[in-house]
Amino acid sequence: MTDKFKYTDEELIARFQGGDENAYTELVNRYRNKLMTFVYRFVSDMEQAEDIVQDALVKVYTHKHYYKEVAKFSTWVYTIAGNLAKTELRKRKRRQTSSLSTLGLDDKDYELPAVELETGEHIQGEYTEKKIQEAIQSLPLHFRTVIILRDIQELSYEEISNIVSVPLGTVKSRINRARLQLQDALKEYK
Amino acid sequence: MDRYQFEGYISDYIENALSISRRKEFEQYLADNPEAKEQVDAVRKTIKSLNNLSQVRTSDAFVEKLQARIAQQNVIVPTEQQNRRPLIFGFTPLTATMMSLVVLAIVFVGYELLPSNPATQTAIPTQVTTNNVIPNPSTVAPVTNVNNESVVAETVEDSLSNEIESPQNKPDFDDRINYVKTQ
Repeated sequence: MTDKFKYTDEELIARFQGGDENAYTELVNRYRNKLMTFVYRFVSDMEQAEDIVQDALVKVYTHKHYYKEVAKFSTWVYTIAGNLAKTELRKRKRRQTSSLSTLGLDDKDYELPAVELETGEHIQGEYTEKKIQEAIQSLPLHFRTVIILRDIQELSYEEISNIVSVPLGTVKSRINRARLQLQDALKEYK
Repeated sequence: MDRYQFEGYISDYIENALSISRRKEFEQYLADNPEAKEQVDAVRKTIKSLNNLSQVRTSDAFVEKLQARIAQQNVIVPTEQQNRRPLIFGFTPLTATMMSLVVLAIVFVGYELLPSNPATQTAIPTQVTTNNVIPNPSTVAPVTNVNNESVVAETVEDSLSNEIESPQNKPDFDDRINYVKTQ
């Protein structure tokens, strides 16, 4: 085991609260891509996603004493990022300057690798990724959040329940319904 | 099991979260409805597709930008930590000081109220003797002199005069000593 996994997330944030800046750097390295994936799947715009992740990590820095060890650090940081992403989507809805179906995917600075389906064959990469991303964007926000956290980020139902502040049973029900809607949206492609 | 119930249990079935009896019921429904089985397979594939989605990475300049923003935050807005003062037993320094002063004041006042030397304290007689009983003025005969006149008015003056040690009022102990010796 390497040194960077010597500490749990909760130990790192405790060290950071005690003034250890290196602990913060380690947390950033652990979470920046996870948060980026979560937020990008949510807002579907790379630039905005990166800004939101930056905002979230700045908030972790400036509000470090708000974290109490009653919850996992991942729950706290995902809650911050999720709230910022929702705020961004609300702003975007108000501006009404963009369409969900065309957001972000034309960005040339980022390359999204192909998605390997059950058959094992590589589908024409971007198209598959794009199709799935579109299907995710077609979901209502409360379905979108839980399906990303469960099936892309692979968090437990309990963690998701804490992040979205919704009872466990409701989370399970939302995830199930979100999967059915996604399957319906992707049916045509398959 | 009806269609509505079946759809509600699809995720639990895929994740092996159904009870044995419910699972048997669910599988019976799948056996009876081939299109239901197709739907379960399609949901399973959807989940797998989502699981296999690539991780989106931040740009190379991410850390530098973040550091710059944090540095900016530190300059413009003092952080929560910098504003925060350490707590003393869970109280702010001001509250802790006020409470300490109140406690000190109570101790000081309490100390001042206590007698400094308990030996000098006036003892309350535990037993009432006849000497201590104040006579009832109605039963006591007035003090009179040889001329049957009240001498109350003179007592204060008399008592004062007794305190003045004059050679006449001084008891003659020498005579008494001589008397004892001769006996």
